[in-house]
Amino acid sequence: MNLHKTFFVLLALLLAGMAIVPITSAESSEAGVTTQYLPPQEGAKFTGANPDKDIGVGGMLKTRIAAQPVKSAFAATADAPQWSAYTDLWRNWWSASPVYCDAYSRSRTSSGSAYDINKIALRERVWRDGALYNDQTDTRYNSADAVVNYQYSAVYTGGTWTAQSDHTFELSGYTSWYPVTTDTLT
Amino acid sequence: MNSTNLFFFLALFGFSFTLIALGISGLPHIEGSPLWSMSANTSGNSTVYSTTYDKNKVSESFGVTILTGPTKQDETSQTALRRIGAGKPFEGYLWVSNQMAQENDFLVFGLLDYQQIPFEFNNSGRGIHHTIHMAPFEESAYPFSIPPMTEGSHDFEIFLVMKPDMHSLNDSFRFSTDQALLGSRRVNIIVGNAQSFFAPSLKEYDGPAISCGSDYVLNDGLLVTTKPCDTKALLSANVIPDSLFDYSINIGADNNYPVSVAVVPLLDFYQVPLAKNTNDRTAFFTLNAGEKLSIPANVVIPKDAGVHELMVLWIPLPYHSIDDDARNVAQHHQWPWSEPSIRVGLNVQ
Repeated sequence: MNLHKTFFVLLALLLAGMAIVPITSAESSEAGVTTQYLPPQEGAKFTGANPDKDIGVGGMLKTRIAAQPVKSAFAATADAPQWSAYTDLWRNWWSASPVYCDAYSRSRTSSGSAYDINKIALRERVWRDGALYNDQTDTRYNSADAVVNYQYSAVYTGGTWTAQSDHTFELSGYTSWYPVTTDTLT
Repeated sequence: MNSTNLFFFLALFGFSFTLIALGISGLPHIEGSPLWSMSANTSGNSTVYSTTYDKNKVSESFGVTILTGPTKQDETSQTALRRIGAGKPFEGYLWVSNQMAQENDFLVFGLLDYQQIPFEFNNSGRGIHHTIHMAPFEESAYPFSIPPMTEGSHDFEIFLVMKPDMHSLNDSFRFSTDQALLGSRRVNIIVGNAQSFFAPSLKEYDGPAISCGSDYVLNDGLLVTTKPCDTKALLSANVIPDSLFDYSINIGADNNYPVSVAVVPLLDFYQVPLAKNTNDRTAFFTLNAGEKLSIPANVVIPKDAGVHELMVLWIPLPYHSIDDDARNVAQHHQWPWSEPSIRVGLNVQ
């Protein structure tokens, strides 16, 4: 019986201790940048890939609400645009499929409409086994979208592919944002 | 109490502890589940949006601006034209926003007319390099002062390097430095009574160069390689102290538009000549659409053992106003931000 009591006392102490320890998780409630590694079903919405068959569909999505430099660095008003930066490397399910890299910088209202900003841009670089295969920029002024789409077709498209995109979002009165998104495909 | 019972209860207690600990730590995170969500809190006429996110997956994200005063309200656009009197220093504030959940160190240096100069920064005296440490999500303005310049037109660009003390030779780190971990802002300056900004006549690079052909992969950018016109990135090398290390700086205009650019090599973030036996520390190029070149370069390896960082800056549109002049929207298709090459780790053994 003493052993049972000891166990329950230890368990009670453990639970009581947890009640006063701040509970943490992998997510933070602090406002700012969102980084997401999209599952295939979500990634396919951006690229048109087949999420059930194609390989590597998903990619990295970073999102933030444009912030004005006020007391709270990441407070944003209702009319602030939502900015997203995205890169996805993927291929079709068949073996001789091309390799695709889709990347964009996008500025939207909270309702999803285009929100033009002073400068929106991205530079996409695609590497295969350490060699540069694509280097492309898209710079837009007073626009809501910058897009780079790359496709590599050959008999053999194997190897380790890496893509890195350097994004720019600039709007007068708001804190500029320069995120980097990456994705890999093997 | 027998030993079997003791073992059983200790095991049960340990198992319970493990389950509860896993439950509160968030470890059983399921891949594909939402890593973020957005909520809106309306109060009166204003709505404040907040986003929850996985702070462990936020990587590079920072912003820089040059201000006329210590608050963000003093912001003017990039490459704003500044006028100062003859014999006066150029003073301003560098505003930095560390938009990351991690604290970060940044190295700060400046180029006046594309030459690295010592200047005063954050009341810490005059120097070529300065460092700042920023707390998570900190935004701060740092005063700086550039010594008096000659009368006429000048460009000053101030650079921030993130992770300046990271010297890993790991390939993935080296790749991650490509066109990343660097931010900058430029101002055009008129000293004296000149009415408008005149770009000084630039001495274009006239040294050796190899044409890579218009099919070469670069578009409006730069790549450092071992061999000329190669596509294989130079990431790191084991080198001999005091020896000469040869490499190639490959540059390219876009196939659809010309570019003008200043190329600046740095070793350990100090400006160095393009090659031994030359004093050229900056090379200016005007490339026609589709023109791709490879420039032979070399650097004298330091005597100090350890990893030294070789990096080449791509600075677009020297002596142009990028933002202020509405004509630029039509004039320049060129990528208007300075970019670093991959940081090449030179390992002196």
